Amino acid sequence: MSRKKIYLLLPVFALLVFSFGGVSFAQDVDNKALEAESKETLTTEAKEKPVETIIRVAQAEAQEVTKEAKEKPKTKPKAKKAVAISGGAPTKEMQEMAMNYYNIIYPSEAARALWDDNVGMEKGMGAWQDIYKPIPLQMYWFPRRHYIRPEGEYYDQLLNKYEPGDCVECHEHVTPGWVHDWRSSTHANPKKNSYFAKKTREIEQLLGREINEVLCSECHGKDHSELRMPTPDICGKCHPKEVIEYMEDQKYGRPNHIDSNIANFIVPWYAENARQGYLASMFGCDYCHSTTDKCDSCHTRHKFAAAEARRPEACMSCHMGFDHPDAESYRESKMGIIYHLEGEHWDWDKPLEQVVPGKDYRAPTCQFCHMYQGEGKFTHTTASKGIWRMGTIPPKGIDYKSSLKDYPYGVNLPPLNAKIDIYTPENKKKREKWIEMCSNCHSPRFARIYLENMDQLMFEMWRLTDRAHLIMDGIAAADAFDPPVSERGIYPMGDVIADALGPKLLGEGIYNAFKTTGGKLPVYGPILGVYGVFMAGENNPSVIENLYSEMWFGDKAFAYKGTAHVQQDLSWWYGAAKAFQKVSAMESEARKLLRAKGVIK
Amino acid sequence: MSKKRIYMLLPVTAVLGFLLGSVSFSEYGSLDTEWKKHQKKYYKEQLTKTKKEYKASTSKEEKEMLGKRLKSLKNPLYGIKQIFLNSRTAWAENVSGDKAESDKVENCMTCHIDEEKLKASHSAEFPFDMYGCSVCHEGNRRALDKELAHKGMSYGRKDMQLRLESAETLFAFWEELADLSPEESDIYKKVEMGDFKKFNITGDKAIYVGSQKCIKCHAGLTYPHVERWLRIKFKSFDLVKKAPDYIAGDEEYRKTCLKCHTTGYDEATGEYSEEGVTCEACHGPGEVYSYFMEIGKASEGKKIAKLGTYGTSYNACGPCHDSRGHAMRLEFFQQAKGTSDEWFFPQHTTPYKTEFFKEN
Repeated sequence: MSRKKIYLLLPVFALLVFSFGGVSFAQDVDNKALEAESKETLTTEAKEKPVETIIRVAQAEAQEVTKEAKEKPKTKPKAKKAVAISGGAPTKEMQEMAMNYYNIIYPSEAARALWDDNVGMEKGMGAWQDIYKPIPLQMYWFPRRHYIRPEGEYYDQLLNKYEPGDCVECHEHVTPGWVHDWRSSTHANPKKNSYFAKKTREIEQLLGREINEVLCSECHGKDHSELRMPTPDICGKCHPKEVIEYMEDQKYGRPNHIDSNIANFIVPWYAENARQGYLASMFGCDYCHSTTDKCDSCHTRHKFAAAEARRPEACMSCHMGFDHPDAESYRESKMGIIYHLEGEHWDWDKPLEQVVPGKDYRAPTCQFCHMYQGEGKFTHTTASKGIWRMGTIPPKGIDYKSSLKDYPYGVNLPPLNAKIDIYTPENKKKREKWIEMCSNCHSPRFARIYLENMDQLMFEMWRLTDRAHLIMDGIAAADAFDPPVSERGIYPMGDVIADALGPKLLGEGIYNAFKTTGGKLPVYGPILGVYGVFMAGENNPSVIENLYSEMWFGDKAFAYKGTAHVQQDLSWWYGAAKAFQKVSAMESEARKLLRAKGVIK
Repeated sequence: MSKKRIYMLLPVTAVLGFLLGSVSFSEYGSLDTEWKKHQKKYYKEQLTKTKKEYKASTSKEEKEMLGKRLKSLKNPLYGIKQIFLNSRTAWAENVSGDKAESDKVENCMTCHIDEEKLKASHSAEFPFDMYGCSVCHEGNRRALDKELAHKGMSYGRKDMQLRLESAETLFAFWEELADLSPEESDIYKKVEMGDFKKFNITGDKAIYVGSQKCIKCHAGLTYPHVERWLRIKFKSFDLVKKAPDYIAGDEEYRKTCLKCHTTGYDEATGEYSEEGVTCEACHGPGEVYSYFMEIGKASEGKKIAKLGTYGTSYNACGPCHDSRGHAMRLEFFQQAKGTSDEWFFPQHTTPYKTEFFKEN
């Protein structure tokens, strides 16, 4: 070719090579992008499956709703008229508030219709009240709602011999246990020593009459035609301070002693078990969750001894077990061992305010730590220093890789409606109170470092939960459950849950998901995913789902409480170690499911 | 040139051209910078969101407004978002470049362009748009590369707490906050470092820890001061509770008493930390300095707690010891003539009663 032509060709050639180089690398970039994308989803086929899209859509919508919910201005709750709880005698104001117990804890008529109004044996409790009929035993755990006065003509016969108001004379023969128990109580002899005499005088002033003994009629009604089971509003007539303190629990959110009955009945798996005929089996649930209506869980009837209530065993009947091994961890911790060895000689009649740590108690008790409110005050508000909410709600501050990132998915059932932030000023104040309490015996620096370490452990356990959740996300995305979600039993009450709770409580995304699938969708993880350990539907839950529930609901609780109560073995071998083992088991199980689905070889 | 030479040029051009092309189209030479990718993503999200709102809206004005927004979102303006923080600017000080330490310019929002997300992740009243990001989060405020910008950054509250090794860190933090505050035209209202005493290094208001915590050690350590205050000032609210105008007053009236006679009173919520004038009423919320003292760095805590030293302002007294503070009481007693002479023989002067008023 001529030189001129070559000169022309050079730039063309250069351009060609330039673009060739560019294209080849650009393609590479595209390939890399594709590869990265494909790694996120397990299979591109899964995208076409209906369940997957529903979940994706629901998640996306839930994200939007969560964003909206965050942006909505927080409405200030109506300020309750504060009743000053004086350190001294109970006042008429306090008495009025305490006797108004049920109107305060169920502030609206709608709430009372669901939880408070007595329906006998006709209906159940809460949103599911029409789904099941209560069993007679529930009369005694939830007397406000279900108690029915015993009727019988033989009472009338007995009334030939005894006056209707002569409870003690008759019952001494009929039910000696109650009467002799009562005889040894302070109610039978309210001025037995100067300490009790002073308190009785305060109550006498409040009631405007003399009190030489507290008879059955004070709490149970004047005779059998008026018989009732004593509930906190009745105790509040004479003991308003304690009842008001007890009521304060509610403002700290669940879990607490006041909302325990709501917590029991509002969950769909309770209603599901009830409608399938397993109501009696849930005695174990009912009896622990009976603290709303009863004051005798800690100081038992009819002795009602505060000395008894100050002993750790008072708490242990309920605060033990799978989801909160408080008794186990305390008992075997050094604090518990010292209590076990030396506690018999401690002065249990001393009010907690007067207890000198190290002298009166050589080790702390449940009550000494958990009833402390700061500034030397001890009250019945046990939930006031709770930060981690029993370890069931995901915390902020973790870089979640799984769909836990989107918790609470738009659900608006407090306290399940937000991640917990353990560094808010309120929580920091609670932590300061804890350190103040621990500093009674320990160096404050030790207390602070120990509790910060516990926080760190919880963050790590939640990271582990996130890893397990990611495994579940993979299974759900690939629709690899066996059998597929669309062919197995529904989520408990899944066919009615959408209408019963509505989009305001469930959030648009989840409401729509339930409405469209009729309950045939995979639910795992905190907190609604815990259903798996409460019931057995048809192939629902599967092994991997229960492994996961046990891990975040059970093993993590052991790790948490074992650390909180300084029981090292429970913290590791029954807590963190078990959690790790469950994750490994989940991975093996996931592989089996995915292999069966053909996603992996 | 000779043909031979040209033919030699060909492979050279080829190699050069190939390299040039591959580099410019690979990720190193991408037409899109890192921050532009973030901005593109953000605008895309905003576009879909606005489209949805547009579809869902019913009113005409709303649709018009949303329509305008859609139009601007379809053609967004990409660019480096620089924020100028209030401070002495470089040109006024005649310095430039790295020496211009006071030249506070932040590029964080170039990538972190989603303002709604920022607002959501900080508490509602956080004035981060006034103070910027780097005063709390540190890092390299002008860098546009993610790794460089995030180098040395404190991600969240926990990281920030770790920074708190000594009182100097806290003072430097408060100093910078004072530096960044907008100037007041009134020189008497000049913002000083000590005005930020109530803020912790995380930017949250420091909490009140309660005097019990202080007294545990200080009953022994600084006995004279503590003994006197325990006897007199700590009980100031007890006297208030007995005062006839407090008893007769409603919530609004009582708030005027709480303001001075309690510790840690918060105007906004009406809550206070303790009754009476206790340690933290003057020394400020104890979260940070009590933390230092607790972990064995008492000297650092002292620097923060001790009033008037180390640059922290000493106007702890003025806000309460204000001569007009009891004006509302005078009104009450003037109207309620004859019910009590408490105004003229106030209870709190009992320890100081002179010969003149001594009871016979």
